[in-house]
Amino acid sequence: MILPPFELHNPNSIKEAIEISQKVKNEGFDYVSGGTDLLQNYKNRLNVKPHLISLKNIKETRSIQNFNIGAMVTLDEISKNKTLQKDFTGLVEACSQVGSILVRKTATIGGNVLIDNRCYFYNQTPFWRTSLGACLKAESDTCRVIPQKEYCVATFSSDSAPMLVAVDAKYELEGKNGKRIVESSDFYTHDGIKRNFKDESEIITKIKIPKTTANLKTGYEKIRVRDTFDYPLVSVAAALKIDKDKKIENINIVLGAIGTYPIKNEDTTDLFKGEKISNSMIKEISEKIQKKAQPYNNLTMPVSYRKKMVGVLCKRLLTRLTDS
Amino acid sequence: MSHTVGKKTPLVDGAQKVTGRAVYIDDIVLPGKVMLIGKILRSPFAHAKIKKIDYSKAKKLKGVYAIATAEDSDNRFGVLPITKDETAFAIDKVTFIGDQIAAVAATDEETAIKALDLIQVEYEELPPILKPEKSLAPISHPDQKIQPWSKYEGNIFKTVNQSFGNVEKALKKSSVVKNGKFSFNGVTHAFTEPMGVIASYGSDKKLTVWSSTQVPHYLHRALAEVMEMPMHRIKVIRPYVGGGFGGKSDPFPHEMAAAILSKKTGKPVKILFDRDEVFISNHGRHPTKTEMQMSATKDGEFTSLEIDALIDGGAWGSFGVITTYYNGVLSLGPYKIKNFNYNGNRVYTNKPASGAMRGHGAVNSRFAVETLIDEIAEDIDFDPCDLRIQNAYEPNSTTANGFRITSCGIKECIEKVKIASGWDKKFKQMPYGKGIGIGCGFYISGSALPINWERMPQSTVHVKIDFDGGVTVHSLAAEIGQGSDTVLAQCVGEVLKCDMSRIRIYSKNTDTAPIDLGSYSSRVTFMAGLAAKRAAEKIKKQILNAASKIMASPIENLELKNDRITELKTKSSISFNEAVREALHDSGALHGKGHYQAPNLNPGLPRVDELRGKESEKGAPMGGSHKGAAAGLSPSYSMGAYVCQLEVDAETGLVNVEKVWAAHDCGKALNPLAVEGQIEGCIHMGLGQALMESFDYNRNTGRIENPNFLDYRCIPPTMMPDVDVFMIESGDPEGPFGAKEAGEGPILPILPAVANAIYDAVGIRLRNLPMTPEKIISAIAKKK
Ligand SMILES: Cc1cc2nc3c(=O)[nH]c(=O)nc-3n(C[C@H](O)[C@H](O)[C@H](O)COP(=O)(O)OP(=O)(O)OC[C@H]3O[C@@H](n4cnc5c(N)ncnc54)[C@H](O)[C@@H]3O)c2cc1C
Repeated sequence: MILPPFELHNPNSIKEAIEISQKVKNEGFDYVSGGTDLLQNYKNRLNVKPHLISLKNIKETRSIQNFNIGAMVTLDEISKNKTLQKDFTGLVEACSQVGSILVRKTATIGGNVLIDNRCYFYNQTPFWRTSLGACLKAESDTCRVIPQKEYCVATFSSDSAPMLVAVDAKYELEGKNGKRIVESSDFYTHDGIKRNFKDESEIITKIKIPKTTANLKTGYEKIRVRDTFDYPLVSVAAALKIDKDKKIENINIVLGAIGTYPIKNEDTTDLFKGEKISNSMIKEISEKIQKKAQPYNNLTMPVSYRKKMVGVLCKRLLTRLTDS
Repeated sequence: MSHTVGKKTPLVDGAQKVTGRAVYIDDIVLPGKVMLIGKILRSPFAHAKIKKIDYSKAKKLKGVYAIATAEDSDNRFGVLPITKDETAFAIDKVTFIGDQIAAVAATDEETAIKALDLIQVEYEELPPILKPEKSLAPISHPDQKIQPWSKYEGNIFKTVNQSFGNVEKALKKSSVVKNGKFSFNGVTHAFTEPMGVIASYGSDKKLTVWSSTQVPHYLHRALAEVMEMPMHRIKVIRPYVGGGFGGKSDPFPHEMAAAILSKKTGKPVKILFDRDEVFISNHGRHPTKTEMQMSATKDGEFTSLEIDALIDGGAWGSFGVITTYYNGVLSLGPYKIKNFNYNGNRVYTNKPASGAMRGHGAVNSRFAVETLIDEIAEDIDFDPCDLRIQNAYEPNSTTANGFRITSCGIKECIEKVKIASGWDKKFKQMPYGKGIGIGCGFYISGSALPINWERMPQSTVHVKIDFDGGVTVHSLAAEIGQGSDTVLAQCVGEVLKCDMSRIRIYSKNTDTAPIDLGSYSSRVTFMAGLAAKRAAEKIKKQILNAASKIMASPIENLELKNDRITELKTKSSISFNEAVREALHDSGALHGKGHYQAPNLNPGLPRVDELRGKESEKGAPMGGSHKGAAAGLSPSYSMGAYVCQLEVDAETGLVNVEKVWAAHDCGKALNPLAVEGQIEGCIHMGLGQALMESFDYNRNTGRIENPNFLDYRCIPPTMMPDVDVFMIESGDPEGPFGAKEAGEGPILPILPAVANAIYDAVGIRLRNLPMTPEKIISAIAKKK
């Protein structure tokens, strides 16, 4: 399918980008970074806007400085960054499993934390959608996953976001009302259409990672049928702080691709703080988290399988992180 | 020593492709012409009456040149002359989601898309018939008949009942009987280049059609029927084709639509498919439910085989008659099975049509046969490799249904992979999760009976040499990436012993190429290869005659080698060009014609008298005289054996295929590079069907739910296992230089080899393809 017509803008600075956005806001616009997520939806004629503001020429957001990652840094660059490999392994693991190598060379981290939610009934061609009727998120007012639902349950499939939430990363945004910094864990909503609390004019400029992350053990596990191309069917990000007696000082486990936003599990994990790591404890945490996990039936694998995999991934990840 | 045959030869069109210079449909720009873009309006319903089509608004849209519907053509066509059930546009009713209702020709794609939105169609929905079981049942209302012309009850398209030997008796002397219910989801060819066509109807009232097709000749015929034009006013051009695998081996409605639109507008019209349209139109492998029973004695002699297949044909016939036979009869080799019952039904359903795909008709039944053999081996405590060898045919045998097996290297194939894989140290001896398994295959090397029962050779090739000494080869065998141009060049080069750079292949144009039936049924190397060889031999004679004149020595004393002709006694020599020039002095360009027609079919076969006569081959007659005896009949059969080693993650159900040892008897590998490529490609495709590829249909509407390469998963390059290829050269007595097919048969062994290895790894037998992670973990859980 060819791309629909749109006007492309190529600003050289954040400021200019925001100015353009204000000029064309009545007609409608999207920012675009790598375009690997957005343009696919455009081809499928999903929420197409007449103006595209490309962030490609903006130099300010292209570098990794300490733990501040520019939004336009590609996932491939993150995967190869020596500091992150050492001090934030989990993010490298997450980013290096996004899509395929071709996708990662173009895809940016800013785009990744903002990708559109996905659903079997949404990410389809226009012809496909006409044949049964589309969904809440496209042209219709009925959810095809859970017909009674008033909000959209499309899955948030970003690989990096659960990991960022697990270490309490922050996003730096700049928009028509200036700069602000938001907690990644407060950023996402339960509604697959609205997705997050970003103002339309806002650009993500930086991902800010707490310095203390270097003291954590972080890791990411993802289930997909193919070891490349595929979005997660379900994923688990974990960040642990373990003292020298092998006791848990802090633990965060965040699930990806299971709901409309990255799902935290403090209720479960907090219970285990201060306890000594053991196989039986890992099993218990994993089982508890699996039990709570409630995937929607909107990806290509059955819910029962995805739910089961939550437990398997949790167990594997925690074992891997505590073994070394 | 051979000259070109048997040498690793890079494909003659390879450089053009890898440098991006090869011209595919989408690259074609017609000089000085406005080319219109065609788009197709498709049915959103699986089964509905068309009450009214109103395209008045669309017609008024600026940039729209023409709109075509069934008003413009209602002629039927189809690849098999006996089951022509397709039309360019749906007439009165639609029969699947995606059925072609109308087509628009406009100045550009965006305008054409807009125009489609403006066409209003009024439907009266009918309940769709989606389950093949339901199609077996009689109908209670005429509306329930999907294709009204079908002569069978209900929505049955074709029934085949065959019986050889005596199964009942055989069961009595058997000590082990294994059976199972298998099911296979539909899969697609997943070729890289979407289908595309350009049609140009000129002011000279001639029609030229460029299409990404495997069968230019059948397209030529179908266009003549649909357009009601004589064939000589139609020219079909096949540009470079980005893969086919059987998915471009029918004439298609979109090809007719382009021709109709071009005639209406007097301008060239291009239609290029989006990927979802490819999924809708591809005629993929039939979803099939197969019940199978196999028996053996305790000494390991296979005694009987019974197959009951329910084959989901979708809304059209396509190659379906052949599919229905193949699901049965191609299971009758490579093992001696003398008692056989087959009941096959291919039914119409309100889904996109199924058709031919690599390993056509044989893949699913083969999976079941090879699984049951492993179960038998376990029961009677035989090694699965040895049990297969014990039952394998020898050369020059006849199967229960009269297939004539000439060359036959199956035992060597099995022995080869058994040793290479270290089978004896691995089978049943690896740790839980790791496994090894074997599977075999058996396939035709071209169908002996052509689709159109006419007294016409199946392949004709012309070879011409003019003053420049260049050798041009003219054929209609379709190069679709499999290397057919290269193999023809090799066959000619081998005869003329000339430098390969002299040879140029012209295989794209029906105006200049003699008829070849096309690239399907694994026929090209065998049939077109022989025709090319024979054409070259005729020219060789003329060249040697000329050389004999120049050198004043009898032909017997002359040797043609490396672009020169040498007098063997005096060792004096002349160049290829000198001889050529002498030969054409008084006659003009040298011209040689060769053709191929399958050997005498059994005299009892229907209409066989028409196929006999001096045109046909010398080989022994073949085939029985029962109904359907010609189905699966081939001048030669390929066979193979693969061993696969893999690891199953018992918690996630993910399978890591680590290594495949693949032995295939291709008679003689004319181009080992291409044979190796075909075998690896087959493994790639077979692994996909085994583990992850699947058409998912909406249970209520019949819509293909995953018409894209994200949700329809093919094996990515990163998951391809190591493959060790063994080309077994049994030397076919009739094939060109001993060759037989290597393009389709090599897909068969891999699927059961994977399933058998999964059993060895974790002790579960899955009978439903694909064997997805979730099926694997549920089966493991059930076993515990
Ligand atoms: C085959 C394939 C497989 C994929 N697999 C995965 C996968 O496994 N996991 C995964 O997480 N993703 C996957 N993706 C999706 C996508 O490639 C990645 O998420 C990628 O990181 C998106 O980044 P981008 O720069 O291309 O985003 P874009 O497509 O440019 O933008 C995505 C969204 O973010 C907005 N946006 C982008 N940058 C900014 C910014 N700086 N400020 C404000 N708004 C912004 C855009 O307006 C748009 O709404 C896959 C994509 C493809 C095509």
